Amino acid sequence: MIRAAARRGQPAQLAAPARAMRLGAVALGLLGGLEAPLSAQLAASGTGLVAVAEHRVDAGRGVEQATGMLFGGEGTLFLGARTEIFLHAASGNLTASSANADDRDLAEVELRATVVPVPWLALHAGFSAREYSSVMVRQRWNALRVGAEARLALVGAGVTGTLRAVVMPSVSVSGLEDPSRAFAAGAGLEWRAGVLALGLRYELERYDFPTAAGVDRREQLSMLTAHAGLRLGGR
Amino acid sequence: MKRLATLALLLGALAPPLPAQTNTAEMLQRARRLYENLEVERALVVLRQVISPALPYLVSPEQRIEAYKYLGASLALQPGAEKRDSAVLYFRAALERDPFVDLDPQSFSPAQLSAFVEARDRTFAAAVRPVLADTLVPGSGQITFQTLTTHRARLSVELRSPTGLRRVLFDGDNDGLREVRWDGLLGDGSMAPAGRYELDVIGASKLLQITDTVTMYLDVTDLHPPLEDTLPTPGPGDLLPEQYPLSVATGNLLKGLGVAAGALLFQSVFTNSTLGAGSALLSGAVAGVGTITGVISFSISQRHRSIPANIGENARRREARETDNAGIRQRNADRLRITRLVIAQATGGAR
Repeated sequence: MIRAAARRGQPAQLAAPARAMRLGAVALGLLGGLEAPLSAQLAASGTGLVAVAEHRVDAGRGVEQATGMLFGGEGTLFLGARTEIFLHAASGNLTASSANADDRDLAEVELRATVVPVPWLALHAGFSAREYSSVMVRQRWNALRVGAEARLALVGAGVTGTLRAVVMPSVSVSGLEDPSRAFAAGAGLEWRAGVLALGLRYELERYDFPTAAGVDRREQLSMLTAHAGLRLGGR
Repeated sequence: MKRLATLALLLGALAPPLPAQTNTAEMLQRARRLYENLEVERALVVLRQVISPALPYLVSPEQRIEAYKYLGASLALQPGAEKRDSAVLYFRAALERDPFVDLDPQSFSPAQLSAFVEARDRTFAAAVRPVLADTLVPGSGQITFQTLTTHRARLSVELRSPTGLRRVLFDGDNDGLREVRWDGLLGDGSMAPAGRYELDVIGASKLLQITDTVTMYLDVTDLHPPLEDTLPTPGPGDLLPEQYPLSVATGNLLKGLGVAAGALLFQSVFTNSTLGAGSALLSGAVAGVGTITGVISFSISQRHRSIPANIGENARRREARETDNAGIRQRNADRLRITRLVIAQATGGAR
């Protein structure tokens, strides 16, 4: 896939990532402005993560598939009871598991701001950057993400189930046209015991590209992430 | 003439009764003056007119008693047993109307006093003198009741509160006047609450087979700063639920299953058909864990329905209420300590 894109020799669309970043910054600013500056109830969590990722691509030559492990970390800053700042970073190697695929490295970072209008619902907006790199080529993905998350408290507040839906209104991929449709969904659980926090979640991202040269390009990344860490502070 | 007589009768009937304070008082004053000038016969005439039913003037009870007293005193000065017996009878008439009637030894002769003592011995009555409104500090102040038995008797003075609590103020032998004091406390040492009290004066003669009882009603009101109400016992709406309802267990199961269903749904439905469904292993892991978590949550919620945080909070609220009530009780006690009792005779009082 990456090789195919590079062969086409399309120049990277530098304007699109910059626009996405600007939009993300605006969205963060809006979300952050929903709550007054907080001097109290500051809390934070930090976790390490390990994920199993599966990347599928159909660029007109059959489905390429690569799987592998990612490692990284996440941190959340809780600004009061209603605002959160979330940062995610992970990287790893995906090994080709189909004949026409290449091994590749994946590195990603995501930043999002969340407001919690009611305890069971969180609204968030953010920005993600992802890079696939192989021996031959490097491809950069930038996306603006807006979504909602249902938070289902089980057994008091000790366990929380989550169902998340995200749309990506602006996605830019270096060497490719922007996807015509991009969204993500996920489900997961988080257990808390004192300051300890454990989590397991499944996420799926889907990207549908516009038809180019008679080819409907499709990409999909699914990931099972387990994370464990500490949650400190007043919440 | 007949017409004039009829007119005169009518006018006489329509005329208002002549005031007692003027003519009767003048007659008594004249009788006393005659008595003091030792014109006893003339004094007796006037006094007999005073007690006569034919007297055209009103005679107050006090004036009648005064007349009986001086009739007795005047007759006691005269020689002869019959006169003395009459004196005793008049003294008894006075005593029956007012047991507090007495002769001043400085003003009356031994013969008069002797006749009066005999009258007292032959007449038995227990009495309590009306009290004027008074204010006292319970426990340290006192109000005095003047009680009396006309001769030697067993006297009991009891106070009964509106709630039926009794306090015996005096119980013993008595002859004559006795002052009985009350400090505003009930028999159990508590302050007398406001209300209408009953003072029973019971005399049992030791000379005659007679028991006499007189009751005086007292209105007791307390003067103190207003008291605070204690906080009521918290009702169901004031406390947090201490147990999860049964629906919570079902809800937990459904939430766990919802997470599981979401993972499977996203993996199978949201994917592009060209790429095929995502890895069932990845979503299945979350689905399995979600299901297990839901079942465990269901089980835990059913077996452990208590909510420790709410139980603790309710206990804190109850403790805070108790603390507040203790403060209120203390402040009320402080206010009650400076309470003054106002004691006044109620209408329909003593004999």
